[in-house]
Amino acid sequence: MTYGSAGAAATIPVWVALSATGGAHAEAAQALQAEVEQALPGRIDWRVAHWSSFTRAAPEPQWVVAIGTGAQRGMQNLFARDTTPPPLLSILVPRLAFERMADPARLRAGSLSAVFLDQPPWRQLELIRLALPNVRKVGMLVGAESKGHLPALEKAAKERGFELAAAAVEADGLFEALQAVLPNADVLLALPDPAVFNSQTAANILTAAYRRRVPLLGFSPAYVKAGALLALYSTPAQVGVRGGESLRQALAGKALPAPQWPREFVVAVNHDVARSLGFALDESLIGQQLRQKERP
Amino acid sequence: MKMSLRTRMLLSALLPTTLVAVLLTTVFLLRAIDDLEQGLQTRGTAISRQMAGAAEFGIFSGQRSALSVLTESALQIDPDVRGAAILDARGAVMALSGALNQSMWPAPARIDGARLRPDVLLFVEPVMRSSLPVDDIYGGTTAAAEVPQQLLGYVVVELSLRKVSSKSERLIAIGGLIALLGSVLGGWLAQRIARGMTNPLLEANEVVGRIGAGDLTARMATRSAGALHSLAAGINGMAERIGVTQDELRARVAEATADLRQAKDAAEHATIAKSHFLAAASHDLRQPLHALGLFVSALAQSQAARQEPELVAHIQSAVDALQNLLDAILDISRLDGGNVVPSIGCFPLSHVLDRLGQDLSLLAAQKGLRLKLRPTRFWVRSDEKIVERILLNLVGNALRYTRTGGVLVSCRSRRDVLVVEVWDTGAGIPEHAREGIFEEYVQLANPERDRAKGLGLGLAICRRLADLLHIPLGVRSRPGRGSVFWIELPVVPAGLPRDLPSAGSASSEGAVDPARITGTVLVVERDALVRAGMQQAIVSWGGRVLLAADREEALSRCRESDPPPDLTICNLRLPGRGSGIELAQELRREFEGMAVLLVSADVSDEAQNAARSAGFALLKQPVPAGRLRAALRHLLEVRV
Repeated sequence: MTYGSAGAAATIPVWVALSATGGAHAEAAQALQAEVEQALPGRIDWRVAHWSSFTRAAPEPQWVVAIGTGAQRGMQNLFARDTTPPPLLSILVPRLAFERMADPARLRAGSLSAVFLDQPPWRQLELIRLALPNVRKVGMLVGAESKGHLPALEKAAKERGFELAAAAVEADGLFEALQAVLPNADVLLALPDPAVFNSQTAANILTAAYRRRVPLLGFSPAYVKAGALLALYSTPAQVGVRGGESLRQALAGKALPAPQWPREFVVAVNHDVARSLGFALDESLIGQQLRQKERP
Repeated sequence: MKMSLRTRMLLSALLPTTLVAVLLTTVFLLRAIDDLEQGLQTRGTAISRQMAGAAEFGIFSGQRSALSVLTESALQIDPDVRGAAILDARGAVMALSGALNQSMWPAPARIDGARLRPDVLLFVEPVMRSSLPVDDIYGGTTAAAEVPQQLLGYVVVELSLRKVSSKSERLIAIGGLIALLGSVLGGWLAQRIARGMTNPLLEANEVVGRIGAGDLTARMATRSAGALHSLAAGINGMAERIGVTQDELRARVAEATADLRQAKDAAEHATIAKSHFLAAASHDLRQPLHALGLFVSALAQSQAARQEPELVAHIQSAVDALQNLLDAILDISRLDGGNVVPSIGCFPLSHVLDRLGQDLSLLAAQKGLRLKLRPTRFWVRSDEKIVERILLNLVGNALRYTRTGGVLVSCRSRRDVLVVEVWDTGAGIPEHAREGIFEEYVQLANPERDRAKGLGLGLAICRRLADLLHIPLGVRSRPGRGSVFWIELPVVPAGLPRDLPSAGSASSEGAVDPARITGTVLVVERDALVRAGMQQAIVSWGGRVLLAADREEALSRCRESDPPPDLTICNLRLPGRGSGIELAQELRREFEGMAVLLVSADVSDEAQNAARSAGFALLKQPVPAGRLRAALRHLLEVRV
């Protein structure tokens, strides 16, 4: 999908590389484009495509937007040899994945930035406090990847008076990890880690948690549907809008902002689960309170 | 017929019924048993699937107690469950309830109702980790990757077929009973229907048979005929019509028969009348013919004959022919009238042959033919006179139709018959004419009807006489060479008692002097012409003659005469009182030793018998002159 150039010399060529055409990535791309076009209508020469269809033979872009982890890796590799590669804004990527791939030099130079897919630790903990005021102990299952979140989480927990109980999940040791965590947790906080949370494990984790009457806070709307009590996430459009704001800022001559969390988010509640566990939750109220906490 | 028809109808009704009953029952039974097993299969599959779903978390969490609860509950869900077990992914038993044939289990994999033992079905359901669709961009996987389903363990359920088997057995028993009942009911109905059909049919069969045998009163009972009512009515109607038609027919036949009988009676009546007329006419003709014969005889002895001998000879010949003709006609009419009754007796045939020789050797000699009669010693059983008559005719015929050569009479015995053959060397008889010659007035070589060659009545008379005696008469001939006429006579075996030959045939003595007689003869004859003729003839032969017209005259003549007459010729019928026989007896009493010769135109058996029983010879009128002379001579000689 390529937007034809306006022909005017003033147009700015921007590549939008998608990890997957359609779906969440396309939704984010559209939101981003809409956000930019709103401020600079017709000024941008958009070139939106799957990351693999971009080559160096094409005219050099002035900005590159990568949507998803795959697109970021592809774009970084495409311009890896360049001494001055075009600035890259990566959106809809998990924080840990971005940090693993990011060139610290480019980060420092301000030619690389990101809008993350996942939620900041404080927001998750604030949500727990708002939704489940009696909860003190927060359990977590961590795999090799999600281990990276622990320091930030522990810091935020300490500030808010939570006790964290994390169990590392070894191979075939999910039930043991659950057995270790659940007795010491009032809520189970799910962290995105395909090695721990996936469609194969989700049912047993949810079942085990339910048997212990431990509510689960998920990281996607699918978890609310699957039986989590709550989910906290940002929609691709919300991430795309935040990305559009960053790009607009850069186009306006300012530097790329530092990598940041999505500002907008959604709180989802499974009312059936809530009723079963004896909670009465109002997701819009909780969301509002959470936003007020962040932006008083 | 009875058995086969009923059996056939019964079979034709019973066979399909039984077949349908058995087939339906079999199909339903198979269906039902199949359903039972299918149901068990379905139940087993359902139970194992359900358990697999429920056991997932138990296996995942390793909660053996929870799994045991599950297996126990499976035992309670269904009484057919023998036992249930839950294995982990490696096949180790995590929970087990009931009695299971663990040693017989195959390698764990999905099994839906394999027959472990004849009475045990095995179900194995793998327990897979259930999947929740949570893989999205938030989970860290960009696209929902196809993760292979993870095996957690197995649920094993064993179901017992025992109850199903017993239910099947019960079903089979009930099915068999139903089929049997259906067949019995079908058979009973079929038999009823068959009886309703066959009974009227059999009755119809019997009635038709009786009608066929002539019993037209046979009827079917239409009330009991049931479905075949119209058939019964039809048969009855048919029988009735046949009866009516037959009665009509019978009446018509009777009518026609009566008509025919009437016509036959009329015809017979006419024939009898004709015969009577013929007999009467012949009788009346005889008297003058007799006289004529006597006159001619006298004429032949007279002076006139010496002057015209040829004329006299011609007259003689004409009179002879006339006499023969009259005799033949009279014979045939007597035979046809049925007045001749053969008197069967035993006699030596040689007597007959001897007389034939005497009578016919003169004729043969006159024609220059050789007549040879081969003697025989056989006795035969028949009517001697009739046999003689037949042979006389046959030999006479042979002589008549033979010009050169001769005639031979020979006899040969063949088993119990004697074949008498008359051979001649005549012209022979063509084959086509052989049957015709036995009819009246058929003469082969005499189309111009020359009387000297005979009258053509000889063989006709022979045939009638042979028929009368019930003996075969035949002919074989070679044209140009001659003919053989033959009769067959029953032989009397030697040694059996034989009747003596009847009287009247003893006159085989040779003639002394054929020309003359001596003595006085009284002629008692009503007819003056005959009287005169006889007188003339006797006188011409040298005798003395007294004449009388009736009894009184005869008596007075005898008394007047001295000596009394030697012989009396008396007609059987005399005017006035008394017959010729009575007069003869009276004369013989009065004049002892007087010979009597009776003559009569009436030569019926009755008359002959009467004469014979009285001991008198009877000559038939008209008497040939030669015969009369021979008789006179004979009687006179005996008397001497």
